[in-house]
Amino acid sequence: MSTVTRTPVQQETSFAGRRRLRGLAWLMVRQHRAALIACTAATVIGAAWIIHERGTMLDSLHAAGWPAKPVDTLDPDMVQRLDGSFSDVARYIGYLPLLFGVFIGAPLISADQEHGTARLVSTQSVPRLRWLLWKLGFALGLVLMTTGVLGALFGWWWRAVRPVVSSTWLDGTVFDNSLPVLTALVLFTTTLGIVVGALVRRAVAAMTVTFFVTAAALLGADYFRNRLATPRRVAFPLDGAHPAVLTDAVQVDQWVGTASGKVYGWGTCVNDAAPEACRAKLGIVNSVWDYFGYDQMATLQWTAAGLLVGAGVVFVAVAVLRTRRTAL
Amino acid sequence: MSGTATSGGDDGRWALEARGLGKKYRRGWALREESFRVPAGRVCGLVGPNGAGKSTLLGIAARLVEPTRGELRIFGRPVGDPTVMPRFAYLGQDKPLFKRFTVAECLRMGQELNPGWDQAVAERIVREGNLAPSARIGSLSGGQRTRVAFALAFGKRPELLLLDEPMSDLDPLARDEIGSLLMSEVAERGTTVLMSSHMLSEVEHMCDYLLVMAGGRVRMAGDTDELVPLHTVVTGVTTDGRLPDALASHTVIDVRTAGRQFTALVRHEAPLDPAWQLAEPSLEEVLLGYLRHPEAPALLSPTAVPGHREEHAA
Repeated sequence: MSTVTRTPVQQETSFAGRRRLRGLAWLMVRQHRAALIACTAATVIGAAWIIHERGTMLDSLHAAGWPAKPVDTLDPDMVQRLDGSFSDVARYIGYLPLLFGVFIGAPLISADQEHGTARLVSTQSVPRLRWLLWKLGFALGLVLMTTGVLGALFGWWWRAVRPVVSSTWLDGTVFDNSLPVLTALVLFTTTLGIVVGALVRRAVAAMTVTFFVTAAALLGADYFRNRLATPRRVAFPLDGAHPAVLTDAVQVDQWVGTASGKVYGWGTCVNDAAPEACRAKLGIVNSVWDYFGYDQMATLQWTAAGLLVGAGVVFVAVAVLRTRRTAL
Repeated sequence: MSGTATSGGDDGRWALEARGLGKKYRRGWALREESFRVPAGRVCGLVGPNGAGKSTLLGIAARLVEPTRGELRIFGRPVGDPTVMPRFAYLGQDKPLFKRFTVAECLRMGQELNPGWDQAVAERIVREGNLAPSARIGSLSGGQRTRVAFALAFGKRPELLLLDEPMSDLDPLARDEIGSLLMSEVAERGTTVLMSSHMLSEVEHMCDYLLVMAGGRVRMAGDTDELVPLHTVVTGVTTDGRLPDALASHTVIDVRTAGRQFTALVRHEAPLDPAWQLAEPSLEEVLLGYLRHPEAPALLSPTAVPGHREEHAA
């Protein structure tokens, strides 16, 4: 049969490997070796890159006299360049949810079902449920490792240069890429991929479906970010300075209002022939802002994370129930 | 664990015991609440046309498919009990293996996932096929892959081997090689085998027990040595183009006429008319008769009927 001839001595050595990992742990690491290496590489390279970029950025800023000098007095070209490098890293981290959903979540169970290896493993002496839980645990472990490190480092970078970067804390650039939202978001997309895979049972089809569903979900999540908490409202004189509560706040909506609290659309009277007279007639004296204060960031992030993880738990439950009893 | 593994105990006598076992898929019943059993230590052929329910039965026994009705016991334990897992090995039609694993890694998987793993047996089977431990599964031929799958199955040291058309995709040479490998391992260990096959000659050659299925029902079950002698091939002359009335007192399984002559496979209930030409059929002829006529009355030898011994008297 085989044309390969070997001496028994060689065969002896090549069969006997050291057994550092045992049982399903070994199978997980061996079967998902590529994913493990990719995630480790992404974590290490990403971490090194963030640390390096953060150092470079702070060096440039300190050399330019920041934080003693306010940001708006710095060289705008330099600020723009630094902001660009920040956004670049953020963009790459922003691909993680989609990548994890499509390449780790979707094929996790579907590839085993498609190639019959689910049958192979579950007819050894390990109950199917235990194998399934190991698979899920392994995938979620990869998510936690990668996003935990990258999210923490990214948040650490952002907090150091917050006044310099153009993105506000509610922008996806910052909000989605720092902890705990990054981890929760990737958990969400990965479990979404897993449940799609468990239902579709074909790896490539599951990956395609996951890609579109995840893309849609991420767009939807972007839209819902502003609705995670009730914005606060503050009114201040039309021509007056912003009150202190608006420092680091993110504006959600803007109105004009009367002294009694009645609000009008922001554009009211702006295009009138005589804006002043128009305002006087309606009694508009205030500028009214709906905003999220910086102190609400944690609330918003944890609410988002809670919702995403909750959805993830549902996905995992569906995937387990579906795969546990289905005929393989 | 209740000391049921000991030989001689009632539990150990029956490798498989089905009671009212049924499986319904969305498209209908694949297995219709059947009861039968297979004694331990036998090589049992599972024969039937496509869609007869053979793979479903093997799938239930291998815990891949959950029965809709009834129960299946393996060596006396319900199949849902995880302690039966080390006692059987299953080899599916497509013999799935991890394509990126090497041969050695495949065996390593067996070692990691089976408490009773016998590395020496598995290695010997692989070596006999001159397979390099470092060869990737994806680069092996169908026969070589089947050999690795068999090494995994035998390395588990199963008491029951469930084979779903194990040799259907092999060339004659590989088929012969794997066949003798199977028979020698089985003979050495006294493993019970339940093997589905479309190759009747293979069944005749390897099996000493039979389970014939059609349309989700068991049509015939029992010892080949018991079942075959119950049948006779009768050749005679038709009367007015019809079968002679004397034949009606026997169970006619299959009949073919050519001109004035008829040839019938009958299950004889009484001595047959000596005017006819009588011959003992081969196993293949009996199997073909039952496969052609799934509506023929089922024949279960006493050993194949769980609980009550005399119902389908032989």
